[in-house]
Amino acid sequence: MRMSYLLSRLVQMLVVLAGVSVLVFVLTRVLPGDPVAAALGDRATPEQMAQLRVEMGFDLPLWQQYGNFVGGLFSGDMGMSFVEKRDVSVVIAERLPATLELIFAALLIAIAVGVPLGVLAAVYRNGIVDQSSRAVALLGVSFPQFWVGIMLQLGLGLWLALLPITGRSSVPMPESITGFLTIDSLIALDFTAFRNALMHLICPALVLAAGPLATIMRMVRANMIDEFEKPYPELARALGMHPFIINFKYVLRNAFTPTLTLIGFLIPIMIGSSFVVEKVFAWPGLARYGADAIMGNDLNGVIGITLVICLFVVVLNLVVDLLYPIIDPRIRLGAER
Amino acid sequence: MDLTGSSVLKQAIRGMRSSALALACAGLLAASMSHAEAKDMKLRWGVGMEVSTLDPVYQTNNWELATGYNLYDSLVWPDAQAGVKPWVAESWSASEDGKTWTFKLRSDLTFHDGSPLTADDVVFSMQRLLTLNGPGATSFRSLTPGSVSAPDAQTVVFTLDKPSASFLQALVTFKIVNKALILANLEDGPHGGMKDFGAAFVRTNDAGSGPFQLKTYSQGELVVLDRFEAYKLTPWDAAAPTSVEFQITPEMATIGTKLRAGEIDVGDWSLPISVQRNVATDPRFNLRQDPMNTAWYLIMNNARAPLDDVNVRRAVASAHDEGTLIRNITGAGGPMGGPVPTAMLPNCEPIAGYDFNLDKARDYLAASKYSADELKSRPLKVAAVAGSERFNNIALLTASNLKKIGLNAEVQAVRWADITAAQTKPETAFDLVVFYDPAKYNDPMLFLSYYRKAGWGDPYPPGGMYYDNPKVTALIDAAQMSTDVAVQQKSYCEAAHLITDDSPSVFSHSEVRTTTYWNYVAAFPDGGGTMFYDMRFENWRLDAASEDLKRNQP
Repeated sequence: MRMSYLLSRLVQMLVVLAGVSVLVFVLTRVLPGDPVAAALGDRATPEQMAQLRVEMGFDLPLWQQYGNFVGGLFSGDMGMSFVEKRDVSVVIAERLPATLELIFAALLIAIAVGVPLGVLAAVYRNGIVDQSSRAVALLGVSFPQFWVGIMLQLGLGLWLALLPITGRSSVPMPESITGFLTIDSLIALDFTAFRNALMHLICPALVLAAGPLATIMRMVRANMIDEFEKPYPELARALGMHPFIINFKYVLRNAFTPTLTLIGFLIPIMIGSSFVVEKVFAWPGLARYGADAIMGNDLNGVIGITLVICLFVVVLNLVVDLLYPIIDPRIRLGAER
Repeated sequence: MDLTGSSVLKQAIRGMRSSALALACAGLLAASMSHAEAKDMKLRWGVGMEVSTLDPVYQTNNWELATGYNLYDSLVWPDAQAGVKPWVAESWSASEDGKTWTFKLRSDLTFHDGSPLTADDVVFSMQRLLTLNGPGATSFRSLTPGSVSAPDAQTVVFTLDKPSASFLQALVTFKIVNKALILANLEDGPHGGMKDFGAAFVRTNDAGSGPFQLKTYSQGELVVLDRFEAYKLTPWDAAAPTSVEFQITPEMATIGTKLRAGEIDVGDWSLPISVQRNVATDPRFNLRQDPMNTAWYLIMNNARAPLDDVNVRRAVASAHDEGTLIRNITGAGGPMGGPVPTAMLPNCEPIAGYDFNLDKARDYLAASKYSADELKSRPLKVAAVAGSERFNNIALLTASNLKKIGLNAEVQAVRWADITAAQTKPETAFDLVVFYDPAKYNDPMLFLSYYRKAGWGDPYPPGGMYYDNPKVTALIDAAQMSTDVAVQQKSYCEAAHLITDDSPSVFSHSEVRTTTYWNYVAAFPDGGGTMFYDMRFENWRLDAASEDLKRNQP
């Protein structure tokens, strides 16, 4: 990999972020709705609204508001959130780990279950495993998340009383280091807290994982079947290599690159869909705040969240690109043709 | 269980009787309980809205306010008979011109940090409220930060710039904060030596003297309040909860599941009717209905055709089907009887409103200045808050009935922020908006203020309605200038009659609040129809002997 490739990607990231910031900033200012009236509630007087407008800088020209916003970004100040009544950067810093923990847990489930099932479905093509996985995939993408969430709450929470119904934890948690409760409790060797956090994580992560799991499974299956059509698996079998080694070490590795691309696409989609999961499970994450910010016309909140998600997505795409040559050595990033 | 409007009053009376009985039983129970048994009895609420701030200056939603009412105290307290009764202030007097109010404070009260509550704290609290000018300041427009003084440690004097009949009532919403604690925690801000006036600190911390003190505040998740054992304004009962939790759960279906699973003891008031009815069939739960001074309206834009014609407005009011609305949408409700909930004008001669009658509605339309073709050609936009099933169903019912009488009504689901923006100008205001307003204290002026020209251009009524009747304005102003309650009530009543005749908005119904809870929540007080005063948890009782309580709170 060339250093110039990495630098050019970083410059591209900055351009994308700058473009998104201008676009979102202008759109939020142009769209109808008065955030000040919504923030102050009923019986707000014109004087109160005027005072808040000045405090928020909404009385300034648009270019000056944008300049102040960009200037604030460099000092970590994204402005005050109307919905949470505190700095947007503080809200994001507090809520982002909850959403990331949920997404990573869901992704882990989706990959850990989806990939082996995809391999098995390809190996036993049109067999019972394949048919079952197809049915599971269909169910996974067909059922709406809020319905699956409520069913899991009723089944595992209310009737079987195996898992808590809502929240991230119900016991005191150790001091935050990463913001991920499972990891922080492991670092502190507090296994009671770890078990509690894990129990709270299972249901929402399962709901969020259902769709991606099905997609990953079908993608792995299709690419594995393509790879099986090539001569090298047959040669390996003829040489007496164990089928497990052939399937997982060679065929899967070659078949995984498109799945990796897919995972890169799935993560932003999961951020979007985690709103429903966070709402149903009262998960104090960023997606829930984002939806509240949009409904409450919380301009600073909407801009802040959009930028953070945008940053997350472009970084993730870069990471996925950097992973290609590790998984498939034939790929050389930035190499001239 | 019958949740319809006709049975509401009877149910409420039965509810109060059973509450009184339960309260007595809980008292006996408490007397027989050891102190150890009373330990760690939590009262856990599942609440749908975020508690975004603990600062009483900025609190707006139900659960923020409920938190504030338990962390802080006020000079006076609501009283069903007298209007208000002594609380932190043990007595008060008003000057003859009604402008100067002098309050004598109790000398034995302390804040949660142990420091004494003095007149200096009261002055600071009002100055802070007026300077920060958040929603909590709206009721005190006749004061300025310089018009409050403390001649001695137990005396506070408020000097109003004009008499205000609402001032004493409004004081129940005024929370007293701990001056010394706030001054020790100031951060950078625009208020000179007062910096941010403690806004950052009070948003997440406790600076109060109320019956409960803050234990945990985890925004978006949980608020935990613990008993303030040194509280003196109400003696602690052993059966009162030792702590109160607000578990923030935005999805109502999830709150229903948590309630049935025993993860919470009381459900949000906004639980859907289906969930309430489902829970009501289970003997482990109780369901109580309390009439509230919360008014629901369909605000009409009086400034634009065809609603600028009084007969069209009367037709819309006559096409409003309150019975179906209460039976099938809200599940409970009471009549409004004019622009103000009936209970707030107890001595007023009953107001003949507009009963649901489509034939009469058609007659009103025929008497209007607009032809049937003109009325049909002009679409009437009925705005409802996007995402709220209740608001949207009310709007749909309204539009459906308006179509039956020949009006071209259509429902628009709109964000609340967009509705408030549109309402600030007559030309952009929606034709009809589903709107509700809870009275935070027992003062008809809270609702009658909609009908004055003074607030045109506001995002809330009078904005959006744009109604003006000089006779109404004169009556309201006369009531405000008087300190005589009888004069106030008479003027308010006359104004209410005139307003009803002009039909500037549809007086839909008054709210009946439904609380769903485990049966070990033995008793809780009646709030006298006013929001939040029944939410002082030192007056709630839990049955410590209940097996369900022990199972749910191991």
